[in-house]
Amino acid sequence: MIGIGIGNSQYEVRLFREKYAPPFPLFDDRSSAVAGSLSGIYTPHHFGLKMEDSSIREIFYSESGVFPDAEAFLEMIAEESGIQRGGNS
Amino acid sequence: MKMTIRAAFLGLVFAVLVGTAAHAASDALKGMVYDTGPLKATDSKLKVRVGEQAPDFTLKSVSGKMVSLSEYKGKSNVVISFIPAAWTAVCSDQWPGYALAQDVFRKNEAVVLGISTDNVPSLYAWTSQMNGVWFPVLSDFWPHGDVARKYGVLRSDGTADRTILIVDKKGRVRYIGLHSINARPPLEEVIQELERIR
Repeated sequence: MIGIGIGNSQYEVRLFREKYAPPFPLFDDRSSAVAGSLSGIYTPHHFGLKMEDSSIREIFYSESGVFPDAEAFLEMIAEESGIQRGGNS
Repeated sequence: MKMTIRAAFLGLVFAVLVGTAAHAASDALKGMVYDTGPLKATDSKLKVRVGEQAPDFTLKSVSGKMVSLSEYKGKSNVVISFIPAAWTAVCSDQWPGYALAQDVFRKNEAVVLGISTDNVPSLYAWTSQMNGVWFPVLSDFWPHGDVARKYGVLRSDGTADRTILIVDKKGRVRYIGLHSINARPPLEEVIQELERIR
């Protein structure tokens, strides 16, 4: 999992990291290079991407909004992505 | 189990932080934000200068309390943030972003006063939908844009230009940032100026 601050400067992302200490890497995107191709996006927005080499093979999940239960969110992502929890895939 | 998921999630999810430029207001405002499209970047002529005494004003806040600039004299630095309009994308990103820096403002002995030419009910509804903001939000609706005009930031359409001013404890203007209406000013700009004053 990674986090991207759309429109956020390096300073703002650092402040966020210091305040909330999320257990995953954060990146700033002041120029909104990532969101530039996504019109009408609301935050937070979560994407599930299937990667192949360094390219996106498939976007299997894309929803905006806060999820109240992290465990339930991970379960749902596991299901949407086709990952079998506890399996060897 | 966890390792399986972690490996498969490599480069997987992105959770956006504070929101952004024109197209990433909080999800709480989904379907409610009016898209103005790009506008003339600035449309006013400043009437205040750095080093001068800041013109005093008294405006009604969304809490119903009347707030004057002069009440902070000798007590706090004041960051005055004029925003153009409630329920628009960039403004809906700018003020909630200040929540992140509340401690930093406090450390720099600064309060924020947010000003818009919207009326109180509109500002109340908008800020409530954003789960509130921690600083006073003041309405410069009537006489329409009177304070914005006094500062020289009133646009020809009756909204205010996106302007940030820092007024020190002596009531002097120490910084003026007149920003494009189409983009959110980065937080570090105002913080760096506050640190310089301190």
